[in-house]
Amino acid sequence: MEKWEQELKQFKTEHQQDLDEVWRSLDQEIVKEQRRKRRKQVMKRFTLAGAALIALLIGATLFLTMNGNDTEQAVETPEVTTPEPSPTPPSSNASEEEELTEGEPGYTEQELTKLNDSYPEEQEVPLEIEGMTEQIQMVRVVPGNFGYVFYADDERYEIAFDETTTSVKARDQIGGDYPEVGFQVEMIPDKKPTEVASEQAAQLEQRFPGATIEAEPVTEPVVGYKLHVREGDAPSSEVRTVYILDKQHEESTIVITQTVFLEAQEGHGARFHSMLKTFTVLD
Amino acid sequence: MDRSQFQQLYTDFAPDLYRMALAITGRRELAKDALQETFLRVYRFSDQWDSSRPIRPWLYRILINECHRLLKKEKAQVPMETHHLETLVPSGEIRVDILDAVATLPEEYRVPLLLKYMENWKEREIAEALSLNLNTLKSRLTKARALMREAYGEG
Repeated sequence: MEKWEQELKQFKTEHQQDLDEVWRSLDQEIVKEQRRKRRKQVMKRFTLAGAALIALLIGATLFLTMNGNDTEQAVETPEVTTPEPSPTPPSSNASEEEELTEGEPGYTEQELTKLNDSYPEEQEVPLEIEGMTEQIQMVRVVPGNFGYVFYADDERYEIAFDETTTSVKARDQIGGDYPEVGFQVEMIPDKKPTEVASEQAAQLEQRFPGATIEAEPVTEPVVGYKLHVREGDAPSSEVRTVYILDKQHEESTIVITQTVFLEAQEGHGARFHSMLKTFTVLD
Repeated sequence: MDRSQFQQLYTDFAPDLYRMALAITGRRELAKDALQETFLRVYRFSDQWDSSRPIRPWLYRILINECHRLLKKEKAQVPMETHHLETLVPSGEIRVDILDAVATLPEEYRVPLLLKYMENWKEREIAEALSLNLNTLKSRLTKARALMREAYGEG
């Protein structure tokens, strides 16, 4: 047996103090997690109780109103035995309010209200990483033009908007030679997805000369066309994936450009996948 | 997993995992962080763990990934040459020389070598845990041994 082998076999640490220190921190974290869980459960119960109470109040109000009307009717027309034809329900036109269009005051609120029914502001999204599925609390991301909606993990990623682009960038960037990790969603007006795909492929060829660009139609995490390129084999090599969505929003094509480095494909890649699986183009 | 089960798991595995983290990272602070993060993940995902499968490879896989993540982060922030084990790990507490030699190995060789010679894992177990083909692992171990001979001497 070589000397280094013997040394490695005998290698021991005497850091009980370090182990105790880590345990204390772990213990604190666990207590915090348990508190958070309890708080969440209590909040859930409160929300359910609140919803039940509101439903009860609405029910009671409706019941009283209807009974009140019946009584009034009975007082006013006691001799009438044949039931009156029931009053025509308010026509759908009457209840329909005029839809506000983009730019009009109140448009954002109107759209958000519509969105709230199907897409709550926060929700748990499953994330599969290292063979395990974890539920991550994510926030709703919607651009100002309400072109699409998706959920993002705002604890690990910073979300930013500009006129045409939504960016989701890792808060914990490595820096140095490593590329900036994140993805951005861009809306390209008046171009068809096929046209945009050719343009994107040409841009990738220019940006990664000599690298192989893989192209394929995909149904996951989004439905569309995927372009994938890897800069090299080094751990810090940039890996870029571009999704061009089949579904357009008002003649605009949606392009999602995802950037990671080779060794972050599993971690960040899996997180991006779970976020993008929630992506929906809005009508 | 309740708190007492979790504490038992920590008592059983933390010393070996800490030693492994220290050997991979070469730094006590990083090793402590890696150990803490590993056990936090174990606690969070314990209900998803299939208890019929051995827990040790799973723990090591999480630990190794965590060590890599912390090292990458560290590399980007502090130039590596400022990390001298002698100054960071009090001498006498651990064998500094052997860790210095291990630290010269690229990560792809370092982890298989540590699992085989320090943790006494079988090659098949290492290949499985690191998702490597057995032949790839064998060639990495051959290379790792040669590098160790260079760094530490044939003895």
